[in-house]
Amino acid sequence: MLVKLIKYEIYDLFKSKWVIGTFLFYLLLAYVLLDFGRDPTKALISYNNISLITLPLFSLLLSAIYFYNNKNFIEFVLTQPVSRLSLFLSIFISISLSLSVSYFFGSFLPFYYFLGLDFTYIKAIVLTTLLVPLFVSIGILLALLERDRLKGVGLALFVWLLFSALYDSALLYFIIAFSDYPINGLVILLTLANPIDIIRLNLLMDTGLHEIMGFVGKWLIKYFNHLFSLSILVPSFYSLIFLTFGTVVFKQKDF
Amino acid sequence: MIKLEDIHKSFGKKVLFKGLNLQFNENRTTAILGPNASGKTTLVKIILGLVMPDRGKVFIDSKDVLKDSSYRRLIGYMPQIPEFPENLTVKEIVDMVKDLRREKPKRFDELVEILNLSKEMDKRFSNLSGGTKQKVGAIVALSFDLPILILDEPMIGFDPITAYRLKSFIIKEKEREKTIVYISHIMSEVEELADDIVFITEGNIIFQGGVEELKRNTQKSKLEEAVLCLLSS
Repeated sequence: MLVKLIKYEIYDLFKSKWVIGTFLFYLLLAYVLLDFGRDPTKALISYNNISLITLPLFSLLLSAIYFYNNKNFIEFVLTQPVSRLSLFLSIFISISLSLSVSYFFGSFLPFYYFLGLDFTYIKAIVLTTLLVPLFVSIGILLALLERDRLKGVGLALFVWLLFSALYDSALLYFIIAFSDYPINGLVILLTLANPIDIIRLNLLMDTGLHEIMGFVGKWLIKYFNHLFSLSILVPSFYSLIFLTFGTVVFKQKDF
Repeated sequence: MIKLEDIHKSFGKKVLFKGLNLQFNENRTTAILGPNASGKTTLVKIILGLVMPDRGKVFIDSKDVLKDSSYRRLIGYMPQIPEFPENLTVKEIVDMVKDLRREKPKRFDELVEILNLSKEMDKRFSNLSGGTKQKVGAIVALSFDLPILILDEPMIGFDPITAYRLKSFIIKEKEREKTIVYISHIMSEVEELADDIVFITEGNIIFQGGVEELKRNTQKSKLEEAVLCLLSS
């Protein structure tokens, strides 16, 4: 049943302007950066930084809006012999998969065209793609908790701002305010707790530019050879938490 | 037979059902009547498992159904406003429901003709007019020939010809002894279709019984007058 639902939802999503738009956006962005930039490493870092800001936004908005737009359809499917768990998982998987595929191919094609096959950019793209399920699970959860579409989208924007800017700003404030204290360990832990930061750090370490991140980068290179496994584990862990919470809410929700 | 036992449901501070007990008899057509916001749609949604009661049980053929989704195999539901994935065509939507139910829509061709839908089959759902969307809702609910039909204001939004044809179809279904539960505000339609009536106001059942019984109790010859009499009392 899960596979059947995913089949129809994906079929619908791949025809949607959002998914096609995401693919074209990243395709053009990567093409422009690679074509105009002289250094492919710098182009990759710029591309990755823009992706780390925009992909969570697209994931949050698409998932919340998809849920609001399809509320009556979800209601309809629930009148069929389909379990709530299957339906919820199918929505999560379909949105995550369609956005991941459009981001992955939108990014991979221009990089492959300019650089051929190279593990560094493939790794960066794959890790950034892991943000999709995380922010899709948050977007769906917000849409489940907030009935009002406008408030739901507003909340999604706030969550995006929180992960993309407010978290790092608060961390910076914390570092400055407590610079006289031995807070190195705590700051590293807090940096690694933000899935966007950990993926950004991973690429900087891979390209030997970790010092851009200041003492956090220097410290990390001392203790970790690479952040690959952590970059997979942290977003997956968060996705699982939000997905579980979403499942519990969805099972009780009145439609 | 559909039986609701000791149903409690609140929305925030608003208590809607406080120990509701209700039974819809097998092979009968029951109309649920009541003023706006009296709990008619919520009642139907509780039967369908769309709204979870705070307490209480729903039985279909003596089986407690709320914990298991498979009972919905028996029910065809036509909502007030049908919505399907907007990028799928009508044909794809029917295929999808066929796939989800794992059964053939036996009366599909007959309904396509009744509802005059053959020209719309390859159009995307988002490009259909309100009335045509309603037709898609009808075709999905009725074409699987299911023993229980739940219809939420089925004629609203249809042109007179389609409404007449659909009503004739429902009358035939009634003659085939299906259990039909439906919500309507059109009294002439209720008089024509219903065997029984459930009248609800603010979550309380004011009347449950046959159409003739209601007329007799209120000493009115027309159903519309009888319902007005119930409302004013």
